Amino acid sequence: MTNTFTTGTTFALVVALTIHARPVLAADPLADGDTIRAAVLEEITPAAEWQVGGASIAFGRSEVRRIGDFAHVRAVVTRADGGAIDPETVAWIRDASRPPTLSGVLRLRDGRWMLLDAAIERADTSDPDAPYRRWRLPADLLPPDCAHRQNWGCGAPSR
Amino acid sequence: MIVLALVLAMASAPLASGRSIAHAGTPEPVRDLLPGDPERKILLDLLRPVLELELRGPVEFRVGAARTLKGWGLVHVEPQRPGGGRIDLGETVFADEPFMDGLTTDALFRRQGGRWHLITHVVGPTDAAASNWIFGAVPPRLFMPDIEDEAASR
Repeated sequence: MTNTFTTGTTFALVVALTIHARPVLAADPLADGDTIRAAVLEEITPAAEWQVGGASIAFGRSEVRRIGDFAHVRAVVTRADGGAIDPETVAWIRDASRPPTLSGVLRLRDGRWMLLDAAIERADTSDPDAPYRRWRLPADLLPPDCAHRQNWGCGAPSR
Repeated sequence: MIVLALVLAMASAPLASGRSIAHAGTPEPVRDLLPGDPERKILLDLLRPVLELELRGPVEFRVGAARTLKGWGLVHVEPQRPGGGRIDLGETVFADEPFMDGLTTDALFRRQGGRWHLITHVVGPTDAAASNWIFGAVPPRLFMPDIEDEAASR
């Protein structure tokens, strides 16, 4: 039997695997106008409204990331007219970050993006996505925790 | 006292009895969702994906309560593995949680845009955590079917 695994082949294989295994950055946020982004924001709207006391809301700055059938969203929640929501006026979110910002995870099932969980970020929490990091989600779906600490920072693209 | 009342009310509520409770002056009765009710399946199917992640595997439910009122829905369930197998807390994301009281789960839903949405849920609360969800437009009778909304909000 001929041994087809030469040193050269092995080297090429190692190089290929090394390149393929390079660290991957968090998924880029979906662009404005993306249909998945719109579907995700629509799906989290009822939860966002409830979390800020039941009033109609709109989203300010927001980022939606998607890998496969999972999506992560981080969005500033505003009044429907775009005005800021004062957490002091809503007992449920009195300890929320300013401005109130919602983080959540969704899953695509049967053609629909379904909310798994979402919460208004607390001001004293360094990583609002910590509960979701235990879920064995696709690697790189969740933004690094510095995104919260550095005001959407980490050098990640944002609007 | 309020929490105690809520616990007692939820425990004594007509769990899956199928009856709707009409109240004088309240046009819409609480609707208990019986097995086979399409809305019951919709609510449970909305809750299932997050519990499959948190409990790390497929789940089915023993339903203690499933009801709707005024566009809001509530379920109170005991998750189990398909076929009725007990879920080992140590296999779940809650393995290291110091304060858990089993895996009993409550979930709140909202009907909006013609379909139901999961709003929030809690697994294994050590108190009547779901009672904290009664604010905004959430009708107290969803949690305590035998009282009047007005009385509950006083």
